[in-house]
Amino acid sequence: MNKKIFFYIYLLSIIACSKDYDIKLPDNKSELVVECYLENGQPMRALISESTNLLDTSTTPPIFLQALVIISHGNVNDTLRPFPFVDTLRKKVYNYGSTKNVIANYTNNQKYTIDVYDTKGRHAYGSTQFIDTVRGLSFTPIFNTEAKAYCLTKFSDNSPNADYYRLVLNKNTLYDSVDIDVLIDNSFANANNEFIYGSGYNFKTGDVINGRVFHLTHDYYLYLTTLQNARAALVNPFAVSGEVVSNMKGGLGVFAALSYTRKSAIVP
Amino acid sequence: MKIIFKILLNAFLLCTALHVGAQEKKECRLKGIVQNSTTNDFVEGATVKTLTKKSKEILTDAKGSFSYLLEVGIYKIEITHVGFVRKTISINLSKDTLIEINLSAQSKDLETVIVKANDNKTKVLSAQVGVESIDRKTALLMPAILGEVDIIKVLQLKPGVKNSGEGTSGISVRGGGTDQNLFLLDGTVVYNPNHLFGFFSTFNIDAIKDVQLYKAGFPAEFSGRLSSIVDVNTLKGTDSAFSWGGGVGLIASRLNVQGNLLHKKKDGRKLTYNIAGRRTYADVFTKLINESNKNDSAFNKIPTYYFYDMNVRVDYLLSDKNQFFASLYHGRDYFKFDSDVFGSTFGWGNTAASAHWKHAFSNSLKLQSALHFADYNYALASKFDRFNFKIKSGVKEYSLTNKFTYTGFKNHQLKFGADIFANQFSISKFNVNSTQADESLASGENINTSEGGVFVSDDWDISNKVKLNTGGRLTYFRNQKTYIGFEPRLSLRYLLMNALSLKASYSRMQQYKHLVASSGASLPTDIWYPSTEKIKPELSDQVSVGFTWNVKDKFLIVNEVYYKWMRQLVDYKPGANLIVNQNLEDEFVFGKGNSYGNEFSIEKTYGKLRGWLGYTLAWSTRQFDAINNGKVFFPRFDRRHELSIVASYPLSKRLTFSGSWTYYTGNAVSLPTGRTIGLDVTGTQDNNNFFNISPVYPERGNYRMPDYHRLDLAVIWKLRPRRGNSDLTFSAYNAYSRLNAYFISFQQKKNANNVANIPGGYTPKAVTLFPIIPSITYNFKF
Repeated sequence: MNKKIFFYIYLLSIIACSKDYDIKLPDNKSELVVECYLENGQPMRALISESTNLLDTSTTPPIFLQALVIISHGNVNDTLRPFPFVDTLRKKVYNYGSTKNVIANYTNNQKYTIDVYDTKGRHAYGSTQFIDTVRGLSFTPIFNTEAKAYCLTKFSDNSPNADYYRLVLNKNTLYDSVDIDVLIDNSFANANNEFIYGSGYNFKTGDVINGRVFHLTHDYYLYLTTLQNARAALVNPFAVSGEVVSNMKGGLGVFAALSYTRKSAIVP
Repeated sequence: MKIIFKILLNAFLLCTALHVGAQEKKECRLKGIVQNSTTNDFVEGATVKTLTKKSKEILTDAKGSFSYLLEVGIYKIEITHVGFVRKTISINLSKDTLIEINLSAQSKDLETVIVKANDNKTKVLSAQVGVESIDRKTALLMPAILGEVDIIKVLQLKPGVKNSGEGTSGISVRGGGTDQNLFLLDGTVVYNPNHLFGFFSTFNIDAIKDVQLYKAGFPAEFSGRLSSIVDVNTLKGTDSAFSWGGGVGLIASRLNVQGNLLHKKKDGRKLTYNIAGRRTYADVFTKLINESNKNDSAFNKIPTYYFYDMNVRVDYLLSDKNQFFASLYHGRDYFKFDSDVFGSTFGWGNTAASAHWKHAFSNSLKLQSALHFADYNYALASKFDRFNFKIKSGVKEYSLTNKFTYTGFKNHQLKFGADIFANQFSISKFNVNSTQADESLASGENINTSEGGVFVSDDWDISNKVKLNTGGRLTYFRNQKTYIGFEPRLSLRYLLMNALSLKASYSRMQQYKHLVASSGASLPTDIWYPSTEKIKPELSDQVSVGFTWNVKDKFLIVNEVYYKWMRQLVDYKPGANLIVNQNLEDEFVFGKGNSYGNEFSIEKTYGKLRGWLGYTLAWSTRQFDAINNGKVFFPRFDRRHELSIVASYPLSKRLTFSGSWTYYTGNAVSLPTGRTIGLDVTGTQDNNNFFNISPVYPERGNYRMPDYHRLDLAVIWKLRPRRGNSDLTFSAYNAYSRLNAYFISFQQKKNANNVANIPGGYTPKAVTLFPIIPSITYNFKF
């Protein structure tokens, strides 16, 4: 016990402390924010909002904007209507949508573009496309001596180029209980261009592993990476710079086509 | 390359020829007294030698006095005596003159350690600008954080030298980045001179003699970084048979042994050694705590951490003409995360080894030749089931340096030489080894480079008033592409009056190795990357003008104004992957920068109360097309005002007080000003709320941290042991416990009452690293 007290006194003398800080930040310029994901078989939906001051105390989301939202692909222009929609199951809120479902073609490199105009004269625009999904996705539970298993994920990709992926594992449910949500690049490929990633010992017999591997375009990967960095930079003095690299011009946010492979496995 | 070298050499020889015989023949008498700087005793038998073509030598008598009849002119005079540090002074002889020379005894204890020949007069007469020096004696008197004396932190109290963060040993010199400083230990590069994420430098005070920092007017023998050369020299062993000492502090202990294996020899030969080591011992306590809690399942084990380092220096004085010494540094930091399922370990460290030969071909031609080896690496290792993971990076350097000094021409001191370097970079190596072959991964780069240079410089006393140092360095670097660079150097001194000189300098520096730093702090994971076809060498041009004024041998006032242009600077893209990346080169972006300012210092060099006041007014900017939308921004180390006051006072023979007060205006930092709400993809990490919230960082360097100030105090109390010497050093870092903000964090507010789980914004908090930190250290020597 005495040893403990001595150590804590010792630590206290060198430990960092923090206090509330009265800060006057530089003025913030409000920008149009677009978040729109295209997913095969799902309707086109988007959340259109604007950025607010960091220290605003308002808890009303800045989503009540009047805007014109157009998604184009080939010669087709789809206008998304104001469509407040709260998906309580998936915990999502959209304010613009269309009843038309997306039909993804992962191989024809067809570009989708989005243009958003609001009543303040702002115009945000961006583009995306579906890309080939990964092959040979497998989830293999491997047990330790305490009857707990980790999940070894393997998948491959035929592309010789630099590629980017997001691996998401949910335990027992499709959308909750996230076990892994990680960004992966070519560093994790072996000599056969096969990707390998292991989870922690978080599974037991009878658990269901629901996994998805998203094949990401570079701009989407960069957005996700810099978004993580920005959040880390809020609390970590050693974090890298906090600029988020958006693939939207004239605004913030992301427009991305989700090219993913889904698979489930039951832990034996 | 050969042609340019020949042209330079011929130019010097021509200049020299024009001035031979142009001096007046009038003679006058130079008289002097040589005495021990510590005891003020006369030094009998000291050799006093003029460093001219026909040099004259004379020995001092029992009263330490000597007398010469010399022609009017400027002379360099060297004073040597066994057991004392060799001293060289410059003197402008125009009439009969009496001088007083203080020789410093070679290291015996704290009171008799070196004081370099850098007195006020020498500084006024020198053409060198932008140089700061700290000796071991000064460093030992200064307050130290946690009692660990750190010569680099004392250097940070000098004008133009900024720390890279609270309590850290990283430096930014004249608006340069922390990667633009070349740290040399006996001439060997130390690539990451930090322990514990920069809170302590790698330089153990028991092994260090002094440090010179060049921030402008770089001597031609130095190159390799844009902003500064930090030249650290180790301490020779004592002439006595054997002595040992050390210190016990709050976080570390030190042990030091010295001696002379040939102390019984009467032929003048010496074989001295100095071995110094230290180690932290926080891990001893953390192990005990972890052990006592091993049955508590809720207890998270405290990671094990320690660092150690060791210096060895061996000197062999064969004769007046041949001297050898070898120097070795090895140090390492080690973390082990005991509670981690991966059993992760993280280690990093440096090795710096060198072997030196000093040879005098004649009185006027001398050679210093050395072989160097440097190694820095870090490795993060983990184990999980059948997988072993390792992430590592590092750099090795092998080099041979040769420097000749020729004093055969009247009023000239020529220096010339050549260096070659070979580097092996191991970059972002990522390995996963599995018992199943198809699950093993390996990525990363190995790059080998070669580098070399020839240099020549001439220190020329043109007249009594004017001194010119001209020189240049021709360098090459090879990796994918060969780069050839020329770095001209020029320094001019004009003696306005005997005690006041005006100085100006111009220098160009090139940097072929670049540090990929993920943040402003000095982290062990920062990676050195060489120039390639795509990554061109970084360049700087600097002009500096100022004056040096010796006020009645009691004060030294120095003021310098500088402007530095920097090109082809290297930074990384937003979102760059710097740890595991096979194509790190693609993450770099290139830009330019400027820095300018004024540095003022007044130093009290006489009397019991000694110290200095330094003030810097400075600006530093950067511009990169790919960063900040191409707009000019202030980098993290841009600070407008900086003030340091340093003083020491021996109250009695046993009690000395010292203190330093530092004030600076805030760093430029990048803070978010806005926020956005977002959704992310269903079923991902942010799915707990309807909305997730993200900060918007509009531009770099958009906010100034609050002003910083801190007072450090120390009391050194000498004890009276039966044998040897010992003292207790009491230090108080941040004596009035000012809560200086190190970082501003933004904590996300909870908003549990809202059905949509909309985050409730952010609360700004100022994070302070160190309140008052008292410490006590026991030092001893037998």
